[in-house]
Amino acid sequence: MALCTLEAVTKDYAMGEVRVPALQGVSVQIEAGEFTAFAGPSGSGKTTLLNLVGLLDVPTTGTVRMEGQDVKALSGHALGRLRARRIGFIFQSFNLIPVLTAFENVELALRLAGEHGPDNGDRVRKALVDVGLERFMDRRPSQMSGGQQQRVAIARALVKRPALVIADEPTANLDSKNGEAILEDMRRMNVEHGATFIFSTHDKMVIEHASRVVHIMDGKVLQDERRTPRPLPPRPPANGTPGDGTAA
Amino acid sequence: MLVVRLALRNASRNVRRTALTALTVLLGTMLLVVGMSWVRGIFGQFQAEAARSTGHVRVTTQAWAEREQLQPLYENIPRTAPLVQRLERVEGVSAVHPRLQLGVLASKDGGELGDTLALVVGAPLAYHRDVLGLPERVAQGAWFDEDPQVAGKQALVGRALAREMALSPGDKAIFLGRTQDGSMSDVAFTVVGIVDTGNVLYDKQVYVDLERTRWMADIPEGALEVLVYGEDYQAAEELQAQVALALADPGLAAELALAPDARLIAQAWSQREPWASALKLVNAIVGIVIGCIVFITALGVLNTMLMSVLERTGEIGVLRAMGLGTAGVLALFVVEALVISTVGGAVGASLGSGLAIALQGVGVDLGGAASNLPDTMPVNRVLHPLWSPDLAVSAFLLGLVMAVVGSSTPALRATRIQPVQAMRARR
Repeated sequence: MALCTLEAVTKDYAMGEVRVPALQGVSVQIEAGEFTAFAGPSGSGKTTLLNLVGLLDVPTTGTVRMEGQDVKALSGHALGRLRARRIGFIFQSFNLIPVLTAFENVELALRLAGEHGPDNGDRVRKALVDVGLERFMDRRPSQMSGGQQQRVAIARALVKRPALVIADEPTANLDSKNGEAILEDMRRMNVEHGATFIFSTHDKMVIEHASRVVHIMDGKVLQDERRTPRPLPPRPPANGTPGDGTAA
Repeated sequence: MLVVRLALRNASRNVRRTALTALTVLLGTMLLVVGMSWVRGIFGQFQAEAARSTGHVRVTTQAWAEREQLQPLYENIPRTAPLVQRLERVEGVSAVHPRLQLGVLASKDGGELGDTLALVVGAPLAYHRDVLGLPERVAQGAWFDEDPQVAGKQALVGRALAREMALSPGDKAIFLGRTQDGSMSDVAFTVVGIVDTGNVLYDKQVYVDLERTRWMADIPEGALEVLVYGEDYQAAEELQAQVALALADPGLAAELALAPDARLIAQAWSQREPWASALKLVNAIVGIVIGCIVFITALGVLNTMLMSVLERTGEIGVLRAMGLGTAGVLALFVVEALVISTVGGAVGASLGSGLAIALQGVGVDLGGAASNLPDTMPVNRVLHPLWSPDLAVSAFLLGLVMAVVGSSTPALRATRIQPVQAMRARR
């Protein structure tokens, strides 16, 4: 069974009295374990598609299924619960909660997923260690670089072991070095933990990491390409200081 | 706990805005404490004086009560002694005093009959002593003579009236009144003392023994009112029910020599005009004032919390995307407002209490303005607020209500932020 299926999905936005079509009859099937990029220029509809796959929005017409379940039948509350438990998010602007530390930001995802087990602390610490932030757990977002913040966002998205991770242009606000490092982190999570990633991008360097690229143009799927991603370099030493720079 | 922790952190996020919200609640709470202390102090004094001077419960003929302003002397209770004896036996009654007040034209002996209007309060000396507390209020001269014969021809004169008539202790004053059948009746009194009661109404009156006014009005054994006192004036309506039961005895009318169509009624002070209307009016005014303070403060809270919501739209979108429900978002802002208001309210209630307690000790002297108050109002010249801990607690709790009311609209607005806003959030 596919992890996520979109069938003949359309999405219109109202601009005053005019309706603007953002997606026009898109059908895509995402399998578990994929590392998929929605690629296309600005305004092509990739973020809209990502919103629908991430259950942040509902289609105007068509069907979205998550693990076989038609999400149209779900209430807003049920959609929220499904997102909290099964989907992790990584945003372009990191979007960490500024008043919480790195540890608390990651812990927040667990709590919102309804997980209050005694091992939460250990899980949070492990998630942060996995992205090389063991020395930054008590820092607030304002005390970290853009790369470090995005790593916290990755840890936040993955700590609850979601079925799917949605990343909206995850490297857009980072310099190339940090962007590359973030993508390698995401790849490792995909390879080592089997996490399914879908991300939007228009960056060729990012696309090189994807095992599948869905090209979007004017709200339609132009090409659905399966490819061999660039090989992963060896994991950097654990005592490194990742993500010191940012273009944000 | 997660929401509370987030709300606590958010409260310390924008210090200037948090301080503004807290200051709004602080001022609102302080105003409530000081304002309610004043209302309680002034109106409480007003009520206590009203109950004291006119009896917790007053028994009169119904006809007299209906035309009280005209003072129809012929609608009196002809014999009060049996009534006093009966009422003294009623449970909860601590004192009973017949009273006969007469409107007179007053003049100083030797002078021309002037146009000074005065009210002569005729009552047993025990009423003047125990109820009005006049012995402690004698500013010049002395209290009544111990010999009842001598005391019957003496008068204590209120300070304001004495000043108006240039009376001093030892002077003779002539009071021209009328009898119950309408004939002119004049009586001379020796001014034994000048009383300074600190009360606008009492300082314009003359205090004499009941027997002298009975003689003056030609009501030898009666009075216009029988004033009944219990332990607590606030429980006057319960006492009134007991007194009304005692009056229901069918044999009483004959014993008191009442006219066949005359009927006695008992009214608690709070049931009589103008107090009954004044009570309603004051309660309405207090309600309006509290409502206005709560509204204005809530508006201030609403304004600052709305700014928070607008500023955090993307962040709320992220929380919604991560699964925080509408109840959680609602709680996030309401708890934040409550946290800020708890601090603002506590400080405001403390400052307001300090101010009210300080004013309670000092009071505010109305001075000359007091003489312009209506003669029927027993208002003290020096007014004091009356603070009590329950006022501070009430104001503090109202401060929290203001926070909830003020933050509910922004919080509801926040719940309408959709998870998709998370994707649009940019810094």
